Amino acid sequence: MRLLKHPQALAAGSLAAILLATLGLAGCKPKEGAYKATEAVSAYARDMSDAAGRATSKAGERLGLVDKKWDYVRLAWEASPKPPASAPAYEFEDEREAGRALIAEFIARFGKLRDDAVERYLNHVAAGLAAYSDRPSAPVCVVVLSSEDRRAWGLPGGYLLVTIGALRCCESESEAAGLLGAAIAMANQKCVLSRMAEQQAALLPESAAKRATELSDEDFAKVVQATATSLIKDGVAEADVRASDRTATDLLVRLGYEPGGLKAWLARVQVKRQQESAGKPLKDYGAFKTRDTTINERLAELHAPSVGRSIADRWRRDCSAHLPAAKF
Amino acid sequence: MTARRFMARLHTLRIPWVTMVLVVLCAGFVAAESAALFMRIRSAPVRSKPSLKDGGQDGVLYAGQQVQVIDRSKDGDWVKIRFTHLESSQPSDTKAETVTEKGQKEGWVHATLLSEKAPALEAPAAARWLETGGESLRKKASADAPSKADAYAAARKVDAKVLSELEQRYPTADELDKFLREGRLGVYRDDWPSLEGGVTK
Repeated sequence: MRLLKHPQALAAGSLAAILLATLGLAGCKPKEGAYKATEAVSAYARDMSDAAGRATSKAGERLGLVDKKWDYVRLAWEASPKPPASAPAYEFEDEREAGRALIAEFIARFGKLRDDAVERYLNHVAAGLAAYSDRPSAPVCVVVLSSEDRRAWGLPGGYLLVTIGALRCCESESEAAGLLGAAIAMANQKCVLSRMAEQQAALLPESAAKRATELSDEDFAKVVQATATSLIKDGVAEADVRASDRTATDLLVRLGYEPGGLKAWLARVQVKRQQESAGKPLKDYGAFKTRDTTINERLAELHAPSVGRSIADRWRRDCSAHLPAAKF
Repeated sequence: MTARRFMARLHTLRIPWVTMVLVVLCAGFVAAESAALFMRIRSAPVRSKPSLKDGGQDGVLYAGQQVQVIDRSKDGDWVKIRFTHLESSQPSDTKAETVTEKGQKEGWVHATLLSEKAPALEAPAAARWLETGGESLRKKASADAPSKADAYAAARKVDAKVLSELEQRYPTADELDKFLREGRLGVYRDDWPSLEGGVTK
């Protein structure tokens, strides 16, 4: 009661309590080393992941990395673009079910390459990229289509499609990794799942709110076929391609592949297309240019070096040597 | 006079100063102990020493698994962690797969593999497929009730077995680790960045 009558004593008492509490907190750290370690790792993780959405060419400067060009890997861990809010909310099992049906449709249309060595090798490359992606626990499965087109798609549930023609344009593992990385990014951003929802809304407006996997077998078949046709005919939206190219470049950097792997693959495709067009200007020259610019911008943002692991020997030994001769 | 009223209330409740101080100390201890980080990639070996070359492997850490940091190497690139050693059981036709905790373990991982935020997970941490690959991916399809995708594949004259074989190509954690090591990729890359600057030795 005496304390309450004297405000000075009350203030002194409170101060003593705060001092005691502070000392107590310091004393209760489990271990000085542990505390510092957690702090350092947390700060590092913050640098890498909390800069999401702020990745500009100034990013390196902000983090003080302009003179530390070795540290491009940190920037490549900045969060990749998330699937748009409008993307259908599928459970992972449903996503895999939709992807599996689409795979069956593509195999039915194009046929697939049957070669154990190539399949095993490409699945290892893709699994490595997926392991370092923003969905590290999502499995991936690569299917090589018997088509001379030069294309790749990332379907729902981690099913990746790549054509023999696209693989023929690769000259090293880093180029194949760039191609597969873009497909993984496409799958993670749910581009094809969104396309499937659009097709479903157009074909079956009364069931637009349902998941494709909840439809009757007949309706499900209609949606799968329409989605495959749309992907083959129109490809994916330009914005999705740009986002996939950026993420693929990040994945190459995270793993230590040559950062320009995808860029090199695109350049080879362009050269082949130019040769085939017998000197006529390419209709999709603009698309090549846009993709090249996108990758260049990302490489500049990351301060990525021009060299990395291209791994051409393993590529030749385990994949390109097993590809069937081109049909012309 | 809010402070005076608060003190008067404490006095009536007969809560001594010592108790209050003890409560604050306990809260501090809990906060310091619960600082946790998460594994950001699919899987990585936990080493007995802060090096990829020296020492052996003390377990495997899987995506999203939570760890407590207990120490840091001199160069700052490796952290000693305490983690729950998980073991998944072999699923059979009758039993669902289970993941059991096999006690706490300690070991070293490269600091850059840890993140403050848990990554997006398709399955609980240490789901079987992260460890055993494609073998655990596909549920045994029932001939009486094929899945929607399998029924569709059959209608398009694509053998569901072909699809299952494709899924089985997803490598195990060991196979992937060997592949990355051979290519000097991922955590085995030569220029893995250091926390303190430069590249990891």
